[in-house]
Amino acid sequence: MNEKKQTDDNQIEKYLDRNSELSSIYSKGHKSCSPKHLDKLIKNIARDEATPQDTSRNKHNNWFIPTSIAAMLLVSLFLIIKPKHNDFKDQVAATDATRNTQAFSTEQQDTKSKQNIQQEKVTPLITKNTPEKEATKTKEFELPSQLQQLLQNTNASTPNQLPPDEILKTWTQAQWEKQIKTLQIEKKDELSKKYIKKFYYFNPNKKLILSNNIK
Amino acid sequence: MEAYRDGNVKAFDQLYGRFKDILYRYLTRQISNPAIAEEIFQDSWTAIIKNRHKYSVKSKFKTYLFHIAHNKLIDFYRSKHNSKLDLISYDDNNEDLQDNEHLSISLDHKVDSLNKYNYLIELLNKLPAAQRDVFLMHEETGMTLIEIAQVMDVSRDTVKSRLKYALNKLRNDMGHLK
Repeated sequence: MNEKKQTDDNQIEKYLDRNSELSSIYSKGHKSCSPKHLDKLIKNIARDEATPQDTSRNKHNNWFIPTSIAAMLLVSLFLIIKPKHNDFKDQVAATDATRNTQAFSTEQQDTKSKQNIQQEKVTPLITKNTPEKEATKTKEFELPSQLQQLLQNTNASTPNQLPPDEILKTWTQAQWEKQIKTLQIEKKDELSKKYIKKFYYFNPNKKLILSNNIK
Repeated sequence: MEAYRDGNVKAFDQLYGRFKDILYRYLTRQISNPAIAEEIFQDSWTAIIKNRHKYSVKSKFKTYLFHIAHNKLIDFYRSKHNSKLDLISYDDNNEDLQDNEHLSISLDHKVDSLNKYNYLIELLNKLPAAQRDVFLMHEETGMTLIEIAQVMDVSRDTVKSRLKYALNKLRNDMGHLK
């Protein structure tokens, strides 16, 4: 048994050294080669895979996807922040509208036309926010008193609204004339008439001096 | 292979030129259908190309190439429709045929070198695929038993055993020509 195993091992060793008859018969036989069409095909695949075009396409994909995601995030963030900013503006406008309404309602000498004008100016703002909403919003968002004063002064220069009476009382004649002239230049006749009425309401003994003689 | 991995196409051409014929012969001798052999040949090289970035120098490129080709060959045996017999014959470790049994090829051969070669090929085709595989791999590539074991994912002793049985059968039947 051991002898047979030893013989087998020797034969295998001899064979592995390419020193056997089987190897010599096999090596003398026909040596087929791979077909040329396959050679061409495989070389082409290898060339296509290694060309720089592919790598540039990969690079393009590498930066294109993250950039798209970043752009989408930016737009989403902008859309989230924008409505909040508009809410703030609405709150400020609503506070002013409430103040003006209260100021005008206390004036007993105002005529019906005056009330109509007032409605025209205020309604758009009020319709946007119902009184309940306004109340909650003003509760939620209370501006400091100095900032409220500043906003009132700023609104004085806006074309569609009159400042509160407390401020108008303090105006000099020159300020009245300047404001009314500006409105006339801007052709805001109704508002300028309101200013004129207010002027004579607070200064019954004085007379406005305007270049185009509108009184 | 590393040069090709880094984008050198000429390096691949050199590599391909060196190994294409031995791989082709190994596959065509293993599978009688040349079309299927060519398909496996192409698939093996395509796998090498596609996975070039995963290649690391752990063993010789020849071992790496034949490992891929061998796996594809096994896949073919397993996926073949009527492959049950083929698969058994591949995994069969020579228990069916005893050493002294002949491969029963009754051909009237003249004793010249070309006919000896053809007879050898016919005998090879009669061997179980696993034994044929070891014989062909050594003949075509000159791999050692350990290298063949790496390619086939089996132990060195298994390879040695398969080779021993293959050689015995071939020698016995080739002896009839003398």
